[in-house]
Amino acid sequence: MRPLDAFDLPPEKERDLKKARRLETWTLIYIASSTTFLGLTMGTSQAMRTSFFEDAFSSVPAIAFLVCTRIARRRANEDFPYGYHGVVSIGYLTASLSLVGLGGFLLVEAVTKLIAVERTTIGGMTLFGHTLWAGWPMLAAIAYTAIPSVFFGRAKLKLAPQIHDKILYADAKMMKADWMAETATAVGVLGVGLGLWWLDPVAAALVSADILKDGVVNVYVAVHDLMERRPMKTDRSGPEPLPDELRACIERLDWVAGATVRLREVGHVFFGEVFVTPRGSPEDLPAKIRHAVADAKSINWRLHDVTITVLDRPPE
Amino acid sequence: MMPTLVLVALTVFFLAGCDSLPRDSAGALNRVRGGELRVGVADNPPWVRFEGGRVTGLEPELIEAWAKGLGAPVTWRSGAEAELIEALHRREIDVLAAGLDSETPYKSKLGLTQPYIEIEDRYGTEKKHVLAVTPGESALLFSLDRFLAAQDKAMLRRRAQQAQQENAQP
Repeated sequence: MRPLDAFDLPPEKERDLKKARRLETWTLIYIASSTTFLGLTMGTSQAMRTSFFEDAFSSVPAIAFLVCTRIARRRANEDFPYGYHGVVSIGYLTASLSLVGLGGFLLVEAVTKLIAVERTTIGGMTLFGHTLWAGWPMLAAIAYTAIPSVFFGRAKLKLAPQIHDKILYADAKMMKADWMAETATAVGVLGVGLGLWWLDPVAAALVSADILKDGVVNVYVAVHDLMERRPMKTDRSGPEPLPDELRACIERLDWVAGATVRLREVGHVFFGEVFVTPRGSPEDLPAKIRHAVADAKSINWRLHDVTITVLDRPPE
Repeated sequence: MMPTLVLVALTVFFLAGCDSLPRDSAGALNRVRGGELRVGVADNPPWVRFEGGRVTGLEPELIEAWAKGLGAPVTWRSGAEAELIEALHRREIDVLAAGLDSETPYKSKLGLTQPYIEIEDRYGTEKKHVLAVTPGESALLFSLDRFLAAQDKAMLRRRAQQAQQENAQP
């Protein structure tokens, strides 16, 4: 087997990737600390179990990103002639499934609570010799875990299209899921304080339905990616313009009468073929093709490998 | 989604500002203040015991002192723990004293107080003893929690140890 050439990110993308990896490391540190804080304040309550699962789920995309971006950088070899880029799609599927898991778990939890008319009771908590309503320290813990998620989520949403990383994109959704679920918990705690027991499960059900929807949409896209559907933009705003650009680039060459392209997206990069109908019978075709491939690859850093096939029939 | 949530959160905060938190979901504390405190007691010596038709033990004593502070006479209802937990959920009683500890299998279904005492049982396991109120009645629970937190813990401990010793003797 003939492995692909080594793949290097352009320097500015390299910087973005480093930034994203730093962001994800901090995310994990912060999730660990918030789990501790929640655990300390929630005491024996049922909410603690929910929060624990929520935190466990919300660390999945960050871990997937750190692991997959590392593996994806390995060089192509005999065993993996196309390199390790495909691992990013697997990571994206994993991250999306964790969103589905979280949304589903929270939804079941909320609906069960609603059906069972399970009334949560929050009494007092003694802190430094003062007995205050335990809802206040809970709200403080919730604010501590929710507010950073807003900023993490925004930063990730900004970086994801830069390095075309869908795991990061799914993780931005996870951050949004995190702060929305925490806001729902806060609404629930205040609801308990007001004697409105149903506010907690209702808020939780609304938010978890939204998380579940995000998860399902992402799983859908991830599965389509693994099936090598035509390349789409990272933010899903439409088809990727690169195939058209590639076709135009090749058709501009004076020896080309017409060209068609077929591209697939694997993780961060594209592979594909260009089918060329030459004008007449050009001289020194191998050299012309070599130059054309180099031209094509220079259009976009994501175009990792292009093969040119010469056809003997008129252009379509 | 987001604007709705923020709106709900703000509304709830605004409502919260109108009155002090917490409040009961069915106004138990207000009802008790003007009436009686209905207490379920399940035999669990030395915490709750029945002697000659009277309810004694540390937990009934604590509850009686709390009820006195609220100006409410206590009516006792004795029964098995499981039956009284049912009664709590049906709102037939306001408080349950059954020598419960914080690891009770019913903990997720009950409104448990903070532990009023942490003490080793006769097998040497550290137990955190708690009382329970009707689920959803956070103001009632908070009132009881504040009362329990204000107790002299050292004195409670001495009395509990003494009761445990007496209980261990045949």
